[in-house]
Amino acid sequence: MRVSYNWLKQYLDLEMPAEELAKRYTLAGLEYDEVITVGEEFSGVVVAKVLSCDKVEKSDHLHICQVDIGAAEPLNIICGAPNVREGLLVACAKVGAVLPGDFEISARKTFGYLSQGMLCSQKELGLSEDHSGIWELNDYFPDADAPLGMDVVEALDIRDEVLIIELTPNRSDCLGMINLAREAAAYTGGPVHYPDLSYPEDGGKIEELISIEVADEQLCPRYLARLVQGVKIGPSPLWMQNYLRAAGMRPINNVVDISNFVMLEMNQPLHTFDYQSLRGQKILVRAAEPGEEMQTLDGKDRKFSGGEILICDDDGPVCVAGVMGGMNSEVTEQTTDILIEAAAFNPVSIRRTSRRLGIPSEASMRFEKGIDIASCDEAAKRAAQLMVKYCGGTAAQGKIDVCSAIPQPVQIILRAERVNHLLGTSFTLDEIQGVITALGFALEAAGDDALLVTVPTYRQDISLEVDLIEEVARIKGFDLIPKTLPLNETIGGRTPKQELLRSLSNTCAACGLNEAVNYSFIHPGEADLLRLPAEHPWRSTLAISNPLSEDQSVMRRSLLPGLLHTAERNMARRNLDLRFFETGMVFIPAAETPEKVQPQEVLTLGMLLAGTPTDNWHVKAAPYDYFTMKGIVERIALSLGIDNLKFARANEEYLHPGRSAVIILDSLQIGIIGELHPQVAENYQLSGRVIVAELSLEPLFLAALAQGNKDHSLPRYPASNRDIAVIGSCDIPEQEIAATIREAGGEYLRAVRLFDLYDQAPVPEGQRSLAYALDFRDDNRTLTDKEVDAAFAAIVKALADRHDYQLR
Amino acid sequence: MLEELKQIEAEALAAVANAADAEQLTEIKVAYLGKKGKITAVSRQMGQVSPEERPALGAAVNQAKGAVETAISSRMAEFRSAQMAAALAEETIDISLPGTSLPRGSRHILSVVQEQMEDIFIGLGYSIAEGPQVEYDYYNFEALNLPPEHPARDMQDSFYFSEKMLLRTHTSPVQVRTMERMAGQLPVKVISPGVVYRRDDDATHSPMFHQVEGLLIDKHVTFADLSGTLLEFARQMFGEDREIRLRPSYFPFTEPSAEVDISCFACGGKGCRLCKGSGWIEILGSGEVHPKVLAMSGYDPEQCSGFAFGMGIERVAMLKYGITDMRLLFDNDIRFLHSF
Repeated sequence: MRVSYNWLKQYLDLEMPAEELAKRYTLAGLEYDEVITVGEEFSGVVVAKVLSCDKVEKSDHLHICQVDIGAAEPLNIICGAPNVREGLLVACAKVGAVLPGDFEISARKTFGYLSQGMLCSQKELGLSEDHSGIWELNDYFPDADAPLGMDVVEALDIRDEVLIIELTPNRSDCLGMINLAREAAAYTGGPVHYPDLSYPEDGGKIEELISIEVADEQLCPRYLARLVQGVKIGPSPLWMQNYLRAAGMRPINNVVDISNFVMLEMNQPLHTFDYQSLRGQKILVRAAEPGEEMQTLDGKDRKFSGGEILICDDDGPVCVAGVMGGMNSEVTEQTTDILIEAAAFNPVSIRRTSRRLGIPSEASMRFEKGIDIASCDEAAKRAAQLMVKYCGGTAAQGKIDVCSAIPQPVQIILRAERVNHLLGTSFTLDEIQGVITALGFALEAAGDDALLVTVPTYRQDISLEVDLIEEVARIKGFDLIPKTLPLNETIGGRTPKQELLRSLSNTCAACGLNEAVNYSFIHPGEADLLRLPAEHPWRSTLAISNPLSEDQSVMRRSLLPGLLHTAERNMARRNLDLRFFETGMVFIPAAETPEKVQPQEVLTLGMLLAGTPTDNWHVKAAPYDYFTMKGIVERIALSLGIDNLKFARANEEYLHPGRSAVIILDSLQIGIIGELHPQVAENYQLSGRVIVAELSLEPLFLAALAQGNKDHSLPRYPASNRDIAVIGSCDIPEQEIAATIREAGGEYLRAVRLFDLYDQAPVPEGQRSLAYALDFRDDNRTLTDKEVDAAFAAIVKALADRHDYQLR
Repeated sequence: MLEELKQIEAEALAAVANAADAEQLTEIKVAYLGKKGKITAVSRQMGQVSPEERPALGAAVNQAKGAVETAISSRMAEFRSAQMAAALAEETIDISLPGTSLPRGSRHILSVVQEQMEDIFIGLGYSIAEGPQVEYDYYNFEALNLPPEHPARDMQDSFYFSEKMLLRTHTSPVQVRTMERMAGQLPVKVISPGVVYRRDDDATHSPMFHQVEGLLIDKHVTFADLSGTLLEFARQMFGEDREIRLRPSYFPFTEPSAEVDISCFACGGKGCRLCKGSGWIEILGSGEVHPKVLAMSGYDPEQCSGFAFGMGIERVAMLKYGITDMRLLFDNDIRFLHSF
């Protein structure tokens, strides 16, 4: 909201600087952005009169003018504007004048003449977009008593300050200047000066001139009209133009400007019709039929889907209610009779219509936020009064007011005890009463400690006691409210799972991984980049119906696309040693009507290793491979107390078929690990081997939380350590060999650790040698060699029997 | 014989003193104390002396043996330590070479800041509540006093799946779900951190971001309590000498509502570029829980009251750590991740 300080001062005696008022507004909840000074963008421009105007020979449009700027000698100025003529009052930029954009005027020679300045258009002065000709000032000085030579800024009273205020949605009443003045009066205590609305009604009876019918009260609770006849279209008064420009609106002509002025003054959008063009002298307010059409005044043909509110005459629509007028009833230069509409339309309907037609306007915005139905009458009066005064019109007698119900002011009991109870303050009833009075609300006593407050209809944001309590707090000032801590005693904390997630994330970081945060929505085409087969579950995603872009249009099923793009971006920037993890939700759509039923949100850990580990002069780094990642996965599991993860060969198109596995916890598949398929790596522009893993965290957390206490005592008797090396087929997973050793080793075998794997000559092709360190121990005594030998022999036999692995 | 012994001892001690290295010393030991050594030889002659002289000679032999042994072992210790010193000197390294680098991992700054915020509120007695990111319109809007077509819904432009379901635009639905779960019990004292989504994407808005919201409902929770709680938070988060300022604002789910500014920590409130000259920086929105919100979730607004607040983790992180470009937070450039 752009608030002209000059304008505001018409309703309120304001001594403080504009900036000060802006700060007061802010502290009361109407936050200001900035205060702009108007009329300082140019200097050296004075009021002048064209004494003579002669065509320049050899030019088709230039004139050489003698211009009186109130000095002893007139200036010679070349002007190319079509409307320059003798006797015209103009804005003249003298030599040395500076126009917006730091454009300095100098004397110039053109066609043999020295031009000693420039005659300006409104656009050249930054006052409006109007560049159709030079600015004609005659209208501002009707008695031809112009102060020649006076600075235009002074002469036309352009200087102003504009407060840019960001209104919260509840305070749309402050889209009207009078309501803003009322608000300010609550801080300054001064009286609000309301405009005088009286004017003569010298015309005919309005009932005889127009009839109005409202077909649907829900769509149009009130339709009020007044008529002014015999107007002369022309410019509006200077002050009004200044106010409108300050408010960000372009002055057009007196009728349109008055309509806009009243809207800004009273927050009641008006519409003006060319009365003579209304067929049948009739107005009908009704819902549009599907497929109905009309041309709006921007020249566009509009087709309605049905239900939009239309203002119609006998022949059809003449206006899209509250949104835009029709071409057929537009006020033009020739218009003489004006029908003024002040109505209230259904906010939801206006909102839909303006969205659908794509024409948001100052009027539709106000209807959407809800206007004060009670204000229609005054607004129409105000417009008629101004038209009588500034357009030379004659007002018809009376008004037509089709109104289903004018809302009655709300009455609320405000308890002082409740005010202080909620705010933690100790305001007296008198203080509270002072605030309510300053706001201009009527009140009466209601018992010893309460007030009955009547809320004016323009404050539609107030309907409950608590709303009045807020008024008390904000007008008194939030800075008067003490700062205390709540008295309740509670012990806060994370849930066990939240603690586990935090500790797991820290473990990931300790393993050298860097935490990434990616968007939860991805491009549906990621499925193709990952080479997912048609029936792959990840292809079934929950789709956003109004995404910002296709890149962010479906909810992710996996953290991998995000991590792969993260790696891609980093590699493209020559960050070559990449280790990432991310924790977050993946979204599994519901089986039926997934757009209406919450998906399953699965807390997931994703990890990625890629690029080249940074070499150190001292220790050469091993390239990232499956086992680096597996080590990390096992370390993370161990940090949760889980040491029994199993790995089985995976069968995923996006992974390397020979170097990938599913991760199994207690027979439940909880994730995958492996090298990315080289084709997928290429799809993501990643070079080298890329290792990924992804795990569902819920099962890991449940397993971690289900664990009982472990034995923490140190062994009292020494272990016997034996090494065993066996040779057998490469086709048998090592995990099975180790499992057989554990099982066959019996109760004394306490630890099995693979310390060597060898598959080069002399080990035969297709075979490998595996070497394990074995620890045998008993808790109650030292084992004899005989006992250990027996266990060892059992292992050797089991390996030979089950896997055809022989002692080396 | 005693004379001879003295001479041998002197001779031995001189040899020890002159020994050049451990090998020579070993030879000297053999030559005097070995089976065929000179001092051993003297003791072998013990039988030849008279019984009266024996004790004296025995003592003399033992004394000589001891003296030579002591001399040898002390000399040997000298050689050892010299040898060790030489060996250590051999092992001298350039201590200025870089250390062996362990792979550097990191937590994302948003996680770090979220945990800082959680810890502050845990210290104030809050529990942490979580809820779904894909929410029903009811929990995201309606139960928060935002019925369909409410103009304030425009404040939070949303991503929809259907009219009924959307990506949550704030973590407030978690508060509604918490109140439902608590079913009227007091106090309700939770914060809800998490991912939220709004249909905005420009230099200062990300379509996905993070919030921490707080909710306290009890028999008598005042606006002053809100103010005090947020002051405590501001000081723990941004420094002990921070002040806060509450400004009236509007949220459909709170009444009265307040925007909260903290005194600028860059200039101490004098006005600078960070605070755009005002001395204050806006960090969060808050207010007393709207009676309709309490009532909709089964709490009688005449019997209890509460406050709620919410803030963006991105904003807090950017302010606290001087991050100027929001996009960096979701870009995951390793150099950015390592810069904290």
